[in-house]
Amino acid sequence: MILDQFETIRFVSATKLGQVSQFRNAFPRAFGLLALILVLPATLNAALILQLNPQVDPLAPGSSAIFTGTITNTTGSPLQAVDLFLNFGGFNPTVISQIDQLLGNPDFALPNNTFKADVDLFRITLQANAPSGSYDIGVTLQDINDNLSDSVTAQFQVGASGTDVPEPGGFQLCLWTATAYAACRLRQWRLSRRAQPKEASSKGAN
Amino acid sequence: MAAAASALSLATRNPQLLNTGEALGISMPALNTSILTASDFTITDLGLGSAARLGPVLPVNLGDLGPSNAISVNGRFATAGLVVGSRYLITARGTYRVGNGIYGWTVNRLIVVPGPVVSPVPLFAARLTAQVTPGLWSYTLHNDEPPGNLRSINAVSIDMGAPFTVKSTPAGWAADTDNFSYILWYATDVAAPYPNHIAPGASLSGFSIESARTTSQGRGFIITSWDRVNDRADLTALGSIETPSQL
Repeated sequence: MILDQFETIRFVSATKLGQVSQFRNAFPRAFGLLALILVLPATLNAALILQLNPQVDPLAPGSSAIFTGTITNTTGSPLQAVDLFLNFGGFNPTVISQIDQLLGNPDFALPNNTFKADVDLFRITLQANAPSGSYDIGVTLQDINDNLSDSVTAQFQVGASGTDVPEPGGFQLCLWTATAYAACRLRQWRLSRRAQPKEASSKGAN
Repeated sequence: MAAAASALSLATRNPQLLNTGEALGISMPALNTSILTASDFTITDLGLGSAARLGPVLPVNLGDLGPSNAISVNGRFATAGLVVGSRYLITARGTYRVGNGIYGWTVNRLIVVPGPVVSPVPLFAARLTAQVTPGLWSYTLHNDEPPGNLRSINAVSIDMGAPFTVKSTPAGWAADTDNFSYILWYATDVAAPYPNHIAPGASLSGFSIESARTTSQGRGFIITSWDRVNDRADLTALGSIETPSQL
């Protein structure tokens, strides 16, 4: 098959020499090869794929938060949620007092080549004196057949309260964008106004 | 999204399980699948659903865990409340060190409780208990064999991992130690009827050590028995006990 792919590349190269008819035949094959190159590495590496939904709201010290995400099973075997385990590392134990796996309760089926979105994965409980800041947790997903996902990072913020980290609202964001755009246009207009008299005077001098 | 540079990546393997009726023994391999060496890899918590943990004494420092190396997370749980054939989640938690930073880890694995079997290895029915006050560790040996049994306790050896000195030893017993890595207490009897051995159903306290360390960690111990009828060494009992912390 690999030799066949090289043939395809040679066909594509030959089109540069003007062999248009061969190009017409080779183009679909080259496109197929490109798709294969893009898809193959992911297929080979990712028997289990774990994707985490972002934790948007900052957390208060002593509080708990549930992380959700999507699990994709391409292991070749059907799985149940109770066949899946989450492992964690790299977190700050002075910030996180405990991490509890929620995945598997309730149980659900995850047939091969399917995914399940917005699954409750795990809950973190923060220390009562967790300092404010941004923190990470390394997370891997494993199944009962010892397939392992790539490690992903769960990120969260700790604030003094659940609402004290300001985020721009949608209206504010639009207003800032409009103001910046208007300022930019105004500057361009002024620059063009200044340039016109100079051009006129330089033409007059000539 | 890539994991943080300090994120140890761990995977578990299928645990070995032994249900003896009273206790469920678990030995779960944990494999370091990252490129980091986790120094002072320590287990601080080990749970199996709501089952009571009989051992080990925690925390347990297992030393350094290098890339592609594995350690065993071992524990014993009371079978009261566990249903044979049902699934329970093992959760082990702990810390490790990378450079000057201390990080946390947690692994999970579901097991199905097997039916009870007779232990393939006969064990001596004996225990070591500890009473700890800051800087002082006092131990008591218990011979739990039924009265009239032939096995008496003649020695106990405890792994250590921190500097200590022997504070007290009961009369008729002696201590052998390097004051850092082990202590062996043994009865000084050299011939029958071994009056200083601990008879079945009896216990003996008065074993103690001192250390500048004020916190504890679990370390292993072995209690050996003596068959007083055939005049020879017999079965042993194993477990873990509080000792001065190495950190």
